[in-house]
Amino acid sequence: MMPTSRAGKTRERRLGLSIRALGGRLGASWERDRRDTLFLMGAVLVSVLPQMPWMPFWCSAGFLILFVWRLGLVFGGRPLPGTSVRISAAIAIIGAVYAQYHTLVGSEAGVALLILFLGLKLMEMRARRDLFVVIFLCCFLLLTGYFHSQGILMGAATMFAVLTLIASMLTMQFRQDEIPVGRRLRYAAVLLLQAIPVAAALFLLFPRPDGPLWGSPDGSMAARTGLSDSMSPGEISNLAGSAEVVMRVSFEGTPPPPAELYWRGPTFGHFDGRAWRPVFASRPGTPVPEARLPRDNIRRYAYTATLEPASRHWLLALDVPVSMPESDLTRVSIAPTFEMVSSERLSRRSRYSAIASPDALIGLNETRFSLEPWLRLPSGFNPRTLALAERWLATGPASIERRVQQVLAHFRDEAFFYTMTPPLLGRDSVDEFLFETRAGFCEHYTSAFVMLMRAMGIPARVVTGYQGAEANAGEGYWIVRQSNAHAWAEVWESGHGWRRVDPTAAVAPERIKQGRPEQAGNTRLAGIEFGDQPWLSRLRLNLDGLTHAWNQWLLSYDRSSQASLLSRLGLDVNDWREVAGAFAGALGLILGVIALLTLRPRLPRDPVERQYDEFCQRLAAVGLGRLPHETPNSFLHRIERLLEPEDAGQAREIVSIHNHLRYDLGVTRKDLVDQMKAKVRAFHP
Amino acid sequence: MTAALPASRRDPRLFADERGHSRTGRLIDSVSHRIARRRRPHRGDLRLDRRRIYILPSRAGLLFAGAMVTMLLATINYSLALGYMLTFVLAAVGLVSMLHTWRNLAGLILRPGRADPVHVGQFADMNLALVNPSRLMRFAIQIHSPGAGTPITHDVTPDAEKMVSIALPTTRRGWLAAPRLEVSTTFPLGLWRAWSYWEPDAGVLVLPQPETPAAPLPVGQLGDTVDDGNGHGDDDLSAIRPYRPGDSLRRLAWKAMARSASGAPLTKEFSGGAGGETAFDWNQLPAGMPVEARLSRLTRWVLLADTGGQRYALRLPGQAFDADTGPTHRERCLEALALFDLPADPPPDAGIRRA
Repeated sequence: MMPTSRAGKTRERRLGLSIRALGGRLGASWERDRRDTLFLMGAVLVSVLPQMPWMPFWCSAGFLILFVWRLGLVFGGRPLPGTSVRISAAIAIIGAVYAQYHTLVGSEAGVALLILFLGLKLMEMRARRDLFVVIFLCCFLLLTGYFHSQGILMGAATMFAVLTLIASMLTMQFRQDEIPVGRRLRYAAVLLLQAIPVAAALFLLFPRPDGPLWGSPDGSMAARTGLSDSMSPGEISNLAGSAEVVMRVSFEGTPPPPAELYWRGPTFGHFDGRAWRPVFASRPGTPVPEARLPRDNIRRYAYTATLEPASRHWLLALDVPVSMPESDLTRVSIAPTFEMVSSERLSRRSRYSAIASPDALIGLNETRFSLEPWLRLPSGFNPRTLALAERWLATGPASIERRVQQVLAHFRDEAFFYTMTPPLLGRDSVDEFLFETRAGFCEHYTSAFVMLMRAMGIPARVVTGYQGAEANAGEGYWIVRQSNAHAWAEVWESGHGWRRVDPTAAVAPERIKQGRPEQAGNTRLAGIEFGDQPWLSRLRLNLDGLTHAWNQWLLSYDRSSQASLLSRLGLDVNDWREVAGAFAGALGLILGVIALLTLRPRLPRDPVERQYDEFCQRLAAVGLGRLPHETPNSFLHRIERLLEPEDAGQAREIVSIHNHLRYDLGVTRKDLVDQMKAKVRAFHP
Repeated sequence: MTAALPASRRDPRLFADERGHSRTGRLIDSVSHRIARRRRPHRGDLRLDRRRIYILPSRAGLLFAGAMVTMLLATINYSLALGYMLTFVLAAVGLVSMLHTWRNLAGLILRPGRADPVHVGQFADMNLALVNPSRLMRFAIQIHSPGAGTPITHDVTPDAEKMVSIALPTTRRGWLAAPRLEVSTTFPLGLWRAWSYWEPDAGVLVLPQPETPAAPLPVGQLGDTVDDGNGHGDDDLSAIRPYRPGDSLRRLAWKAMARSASGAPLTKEFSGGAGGETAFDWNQLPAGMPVEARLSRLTRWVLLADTGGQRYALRLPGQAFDADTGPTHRERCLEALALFDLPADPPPDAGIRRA
């Protein structure tokens, strides 16, 4: 077969036609090149499709136009576009991407460029090398899909794409016979299955570096769950708690109980009816932040936190911070609302040490003037909530503590539910939540609580951050994940300052105790929405379990999990020689096992042939090897004179059974084969 | 004149004359002797086993490795857990494909085949067989002599053998040793290239180029031959006698055989003209004629006489072939002409020696 390129073939079409008309070989290979090109294009499409939902519309459209154009060229057998067309298309692509993103670097612009240039590369498949370039571009494209989703479906889609890409690489290698697509896919699947143990070893043992190598993941990636600049309960209907690590904390001495683990982030006080936003901080008259220790023997927790990179300014402080954090970060300050803020974006992994005391009092120096923003409510929103507060106020004067308990008792005693997937809320979000849906997560409860407090004249505010942590007992540190994101309230009382109240605890106390939002929420949710369809709820729970396992085992495997795995295996993580040795050893072992399984010699399938080979080997052992050209009869004829008479008789019988099976019957009769086998066994010349 | 052959030719003695006996020449001789001893041409079947197969990443494999490193860097930078999975799965597929590439070649048997003698300037067809003794289908096995020609690609089905012929250009008469061949594969993914070398102990006899235009055959010069004087020339049919081995097939008396009851082969006997038989004698050629021109002329005469079914004798300095006819005689004469004044190579496998 002529190893000419696929693309070159289309250009030679006019020449090719006449040769094909004569039934020449070039014609056959031209048709085949076309089919192989189509196969590769199928694999390209399978690789691009999972990225489409996240691409701007024009970008998907641009790729599809190029793809369909190429498809038309394949079917029509027309030549590929010339250099000038390709260069102008490339310039147009770069221009369009720059117009959209105002940059050509960064993940989003990069992905757009990658997809469009992949489409353009389809126009330039001339040599074998071009095909490899297309396939490797596809591999890279699959990787970029993980910027947006690392769910099970995405994982499955990419694995399927990998399978088709491997099958296209195979397709390029079949130079002579054309192998059916099913068999190609099967071969690719075999390669993939054999690769999985090796990949698992690499995944588990390949050294995981500490942080980003260059720049930072840009904003679009970091903004998933967790902290944001504002809080709008009712606008998010599904809080997909991701297992992504926010930070890791190690305590000096005894750690606080899980229920005390409130990691303080931004504080919100300005409510516009729907969203809570920060109060303008540099307002004149704002008191300097001051924490007062009520007595000497208070509880103190000294800790060191390692914050994962996120393009935010907040350092998460264990409530209540009583010292300035020590770190190598520049310009860290404590805001009046007691959040630790860095003047630069924390785009690197940052490490800081601080001391916290849950007993410290804050905000004792607030004045009537400085408290004013924490009492404000927008007018014309949530009338029924205001009416409820009026009703409670009408019951007579009460202490702030009693008012707080009144609201919490309301959440507890009425039919309120905790759910991670609450219904969407309309204009009067607090009204709808309190009187209609009555299902929500921390943001809903906190928002309603703060609103009710303010309606009863008590200064109150929303604090967002994280609650709880997962103990990594073996390693002695705690992991705070995105799924620990939480919101709670603070109310101000003269003499006590700002005091934390967590309304969610009234509804889902286990959420606070365990720091595990998903389980508590979803069982309840299942009870509400799918109560009458147990199979559906079971399915949902199973799927959730699957997702949880996926998050737990695959997505959250990182440097620290690797360290604990290695130490469980008795290896010292810090000794690179041990780790490298284990790594190389495991790889070698697995490859060796695969090699043994795939490379072992394969005996002839035919049982008759196998017995005859055995017979010949026994004779060869006594120096009477069969010559390559000898038939069984001529072989027998040569050796029977040289054997003992009874051995010669046995040999004659074996050969006669062999010939009978081979030449008379034409089918393999089991009893005769067994007979032959027995005779060969007994044959000891 | 030996440009088509690789440096480690079969017989270093071939180079001895050309290099003279300078010190360097001797050194090169001894080195090439040593190489030749280490890489002796392989007699008979060659099974590609562990020690004979080399494997390295192909150019596409290096590109693939580069892509993997880039993907790994991106994965680390954006800490994509699934990115690690994807990168490692792809890298693992690359590693596993190394085993498959190796397996595609391992256990294959290379078997030398027959090669017909050709004249200088013609292409000699080296016939080889790729034998696949296993149950495994061998895809895209390439075979070629490095530096000469494009590789031929073959699939070899399980328990089967595939004939391959490689065209070799010929530039001089004598035994043309089979060149060092490279058997390679990049199957299944093209990321690795496994190869092995094979220098079969086989050769092609390259005959001198027949002289063109042909000089007329010499006649009646056979004064002192073994012939009894009756002559066995072509002119008149003198008798029909039973066939004797060595008789030319052109002299079979087909009509007489058809008429006879037994159907046994019969040969026509002619009484020749003047002299009846021809002798091609080196010494009878013009005195100033160069060696190769003489050989060309003699070759042409042998071919002409053989085509005509004539009996002929060949006399060369140092050897002589008595008047005879038939293919065996022709082969012996042509071989003597081809190897005239050349060091007698150890003859390659008997099967290849004569077509």
